Amino acid sequence: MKPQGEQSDEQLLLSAGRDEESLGAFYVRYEHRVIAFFMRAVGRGDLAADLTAETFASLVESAERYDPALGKADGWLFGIARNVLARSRERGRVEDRARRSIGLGVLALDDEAIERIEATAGSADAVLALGSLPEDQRDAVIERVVNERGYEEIASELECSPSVVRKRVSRGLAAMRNRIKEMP
Amino acid sequence: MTPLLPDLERQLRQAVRDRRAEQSAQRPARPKRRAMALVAVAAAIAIAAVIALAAGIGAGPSLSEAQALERAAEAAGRGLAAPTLTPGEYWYVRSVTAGTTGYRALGSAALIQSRQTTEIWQSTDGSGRERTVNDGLPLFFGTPVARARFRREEARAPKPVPVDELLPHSTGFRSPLGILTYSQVQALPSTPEAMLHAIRHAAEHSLTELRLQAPESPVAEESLAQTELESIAGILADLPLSPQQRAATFRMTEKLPGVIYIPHVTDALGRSGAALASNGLSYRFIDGGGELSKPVSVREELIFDPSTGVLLAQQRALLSSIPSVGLPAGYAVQYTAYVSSGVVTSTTERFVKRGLTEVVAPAAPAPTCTNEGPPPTQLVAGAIPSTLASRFAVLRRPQTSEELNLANGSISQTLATPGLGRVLRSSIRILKTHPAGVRYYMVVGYRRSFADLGRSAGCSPPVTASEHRLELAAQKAARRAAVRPVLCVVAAEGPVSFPCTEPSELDMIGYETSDYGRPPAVVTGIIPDGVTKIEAVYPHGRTVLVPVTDNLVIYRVHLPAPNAAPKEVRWLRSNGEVLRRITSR
Repeated sequence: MKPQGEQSDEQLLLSAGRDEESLGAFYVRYEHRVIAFFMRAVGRGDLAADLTAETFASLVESAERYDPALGKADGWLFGIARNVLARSRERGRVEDRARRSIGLGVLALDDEAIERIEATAGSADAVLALGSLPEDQRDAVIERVVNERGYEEIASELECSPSVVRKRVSRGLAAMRNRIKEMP
Repeated sequence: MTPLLPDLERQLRQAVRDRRAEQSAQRPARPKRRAMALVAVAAAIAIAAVIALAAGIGAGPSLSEAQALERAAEAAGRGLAAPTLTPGEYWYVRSVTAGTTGYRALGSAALIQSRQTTEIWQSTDGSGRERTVNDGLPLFFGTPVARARFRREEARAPKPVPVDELLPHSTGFRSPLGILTYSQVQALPSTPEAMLHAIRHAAEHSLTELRLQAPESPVAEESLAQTELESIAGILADLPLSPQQRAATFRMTEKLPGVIYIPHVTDALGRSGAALASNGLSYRFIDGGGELSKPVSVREELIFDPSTGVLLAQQRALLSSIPSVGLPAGYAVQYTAYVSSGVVTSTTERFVKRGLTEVVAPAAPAPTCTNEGPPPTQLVAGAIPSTLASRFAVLRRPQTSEELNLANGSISQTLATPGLGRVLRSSIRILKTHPAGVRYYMVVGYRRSFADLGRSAGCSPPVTASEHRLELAAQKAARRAAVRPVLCVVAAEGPVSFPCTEPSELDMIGYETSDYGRPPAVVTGIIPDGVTKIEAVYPHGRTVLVPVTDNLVIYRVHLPAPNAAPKEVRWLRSNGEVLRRITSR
């Protein structure tokens, strides 16, 4: 078996419900993006943290049903996130069914942690602007700015030269700035 | 990269370790049991434990059966148990519900039946109380040794917390016909034909939506006959019907195909009555392991007292035994037995049977928990914001008389969408009927923020410390939240809807699927003027071309949940020119 670091998201997700190392690796890869997704939706760090917890709890429950033939792992994860958000809105409180079901306790969350979430995940506008970028620029910006990876490393993964990655990041950030200015 | 929520990662890892340990021990998972107890408060969910795969269609009731039914209808029509609810009074219903779930437990296949008692108080203004307590230990069907071991373990296990909530803003009487206000209950049909129409329409719609929303759910495999029988049970038991409405409900059963009359039946509580039944159905048990997951034959029964027309129970009885777990033929694997109902003057009173009559008696003390729920959506006056009216022709056309009626009345259940706090009267538009038969409305309103949603005060157990923080911060957030109008499309019936969108978010395409993530997904898009059709591009080059009608596109796509959102959407003019390309986020 490959080390977790080399496994694809899909491989990790397949075993995330029964193998804590796979779950941990998957969690680390996606935590920032999921929090950013919820920050965009609700604009508050504490809510985003709770929604994130519910989403991953639901993922632990449902990972056994995941079938890579039906779609990529991030699609599955964000499908859950969208459902968690919709149900929480309908219920008027953050959904907690999955957390109860798998026995998750109270999440340790102080003001500092909330500030860190809000600062790192960026403002809702920035995430909205990020979402509007073409796929190549968006991936480059996420990997470089959000995931703090080096240009060389990203280039190797995206199968292009580091200068191309730099160009995509730079163009992406410029487009985001313009987009934020245009927002109502 | 440092995790932002290291505590969450630690807890998730622990949960996975626990799950693996439980699975390897091959015993019932405690959290699952607890979840089952929580959800089993709704009879509909309990029904999910078993399913019907196919209905045996036979002849209608014979003449003598029809006469027996007519006697029950006449008795109901004479006014027995016919309450009139006035302000300050509550319609009280107590029922006992049981469902059977399959398990792979203690090294072999087994079945567990848990039982809950539910009491519901409901007033004309929508306020009420709901209380559900577990009724003893669950029954375990297996070998004597396994049963003894299960009982020992279960006796030591923490007991489920009873659900007991005051509901000051409950939206109305829950029934198979939807959530109804008291005036809507009073307006229900009092002729068999109209009642049949209402029940059949609701049953068909319910099945369609279930199959769309949760195609893997066993409930979605129910037959129409079974859903109709359940609907009749729900209507007779849960709603304060007039004698005429009760009589009409009995008389309409003559018109149901495949429903037979059984003169002598005993319900799960040992009470005798007559039954309307549908044979030839088969069940499978959720989470069943091995042989128990195979369907078993059952009969859906609606048991009533033929002399009074009072409904006693709805149940599903085995037509043949399951020897491996010692269940005999005739055993009710799922049932809701209606114990008592009547009008009381407070939520600390209940109605109990004493001899042949029913008397008022004290109920459990009022709960400390108040679940306020979201405040009702309000219809408000005001012009449609020009940013929306200028871009959507459907909002510029005059309202039809039907739309004006909706706008000038009280808000309907449909338009009271949970996400909206306010809806502009002037914006209500009925869209052209969808081919699947579901009607859609477009409305402009204002989103309900998390902050102005209802609170649950004193309800236990609290979920997280951060949720408590949420409640404290709610008012502060509400004050600073920007209020922007949003454009929404809501389905006339059922849960399918397009999330409300701000004008700046128009490049989003919405889609709705079930939790099960199975196709089809319903894809919806609100499209501004000038676009006559859209082309949606999916993975592997598959494209879908959909015409825009009333500024709306809506279609079903047979792709699983994550991929149901198109990779790219092109807005096309009538001459085929691409007005805009939107790539997936």
